[in-house]
Amino acid sequence: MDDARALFAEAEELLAHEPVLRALSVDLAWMHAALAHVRGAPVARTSTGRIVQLIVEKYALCALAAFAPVVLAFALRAWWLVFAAPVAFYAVEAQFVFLLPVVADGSTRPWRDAHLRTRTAGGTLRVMATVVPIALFMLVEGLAGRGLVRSWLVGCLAIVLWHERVRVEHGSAA
Amino acid sequence: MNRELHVRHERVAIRARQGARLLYASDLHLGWPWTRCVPNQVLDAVRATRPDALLLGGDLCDGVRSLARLAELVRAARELTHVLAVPGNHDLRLGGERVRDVVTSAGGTWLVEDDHRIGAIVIEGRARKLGPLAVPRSETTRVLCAHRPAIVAAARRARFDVVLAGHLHGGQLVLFERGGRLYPYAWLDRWNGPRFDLDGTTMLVSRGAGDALPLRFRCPREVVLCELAGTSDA
Repeated sequence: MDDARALFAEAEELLAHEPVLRALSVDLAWMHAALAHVRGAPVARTSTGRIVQLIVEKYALCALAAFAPVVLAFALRAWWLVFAAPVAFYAVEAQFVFLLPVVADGSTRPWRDAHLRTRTAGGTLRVMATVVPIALFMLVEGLAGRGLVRSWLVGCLAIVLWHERVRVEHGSAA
Repeated sequence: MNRELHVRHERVAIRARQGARLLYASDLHLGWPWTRCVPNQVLDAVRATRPDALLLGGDLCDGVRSLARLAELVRAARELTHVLAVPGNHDLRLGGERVRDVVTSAGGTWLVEDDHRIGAIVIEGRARKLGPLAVPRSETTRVLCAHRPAIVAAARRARFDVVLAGHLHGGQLVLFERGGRLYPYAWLDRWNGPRFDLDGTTMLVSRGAGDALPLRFRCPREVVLCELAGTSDA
């Protein structure tokens, strides 16, 4: 929770000071700009062709994982299993939370590299312990009238900052 | 809300020879009927403490109509001392640039863009500037005027000596204090306490000068007078 809060605060500060990051795009341009601002150095522009496909595939996997406990709950009449759905969703999300930053960094095997970065960041449980509060902050701050788009941008920036910290602290090979 | 504004005195020893007195006021939440008295109370605190600078630590305005009140406060305070400001989450919702324009046109300094120097003390408004994640500790004493206390993680990496933050309002309801933290809100946010000395970085967290929701229990509204004691003051 503390780590998520620190990332969120840092991301909010960055967003407040860098107006260029407030315009989100559906290609990798925003991610390149965010990485460049976080690093203070230009980032080599990589191909952006597969970005939408990767996002759809990632969230399809997460949704599929969340769907499994719901099906089981119906099949077994064990309704408590429904509560496992968000856990399953975020367990898969945690595997690939760094997918877009690694693509923006030019990875040719983004699924593998994103998963490796999750392991470097402490593994599934530790990553879930940070990514779930970030998602909650995005939701709560957005619904509290502070703007869903702005909260979503802060959340995205928090992931970029986290990715950068893991990359720097553990080496770019991770 | 008409109850008096408490001035909390905190002393922090610094490396610089010459010290400074900074008055940190955050969470004014101007725009509500119950925060109408806050600007005058802050000005009274400035007159009483005579700081080298008044630091406005974010969440200054709730609503467009409160911007004029902020301008009046900055203009009046500017006649007494330097006025430095950063935005909080409420200001960003209103539009950070809008609040910035009000502060700068009234004679204040927007710390997001400009640092402020008092001798060997540099007051900054960004924990994370462009460049490497960690920077060596410099000869100057660096003070971060921030809004969210959680920024202290980045501030420590950036080797700030002092961090001034607000945002939490002390939780507004305090049942007990333990280990320098105010409960029950400290269970939700570990930085809910008045002061944290963290291996080279001291963070002072204000309980806020105003509220969006005027309910408090054993948690007075306050501004923090941070006395940076230089070696010549020892």
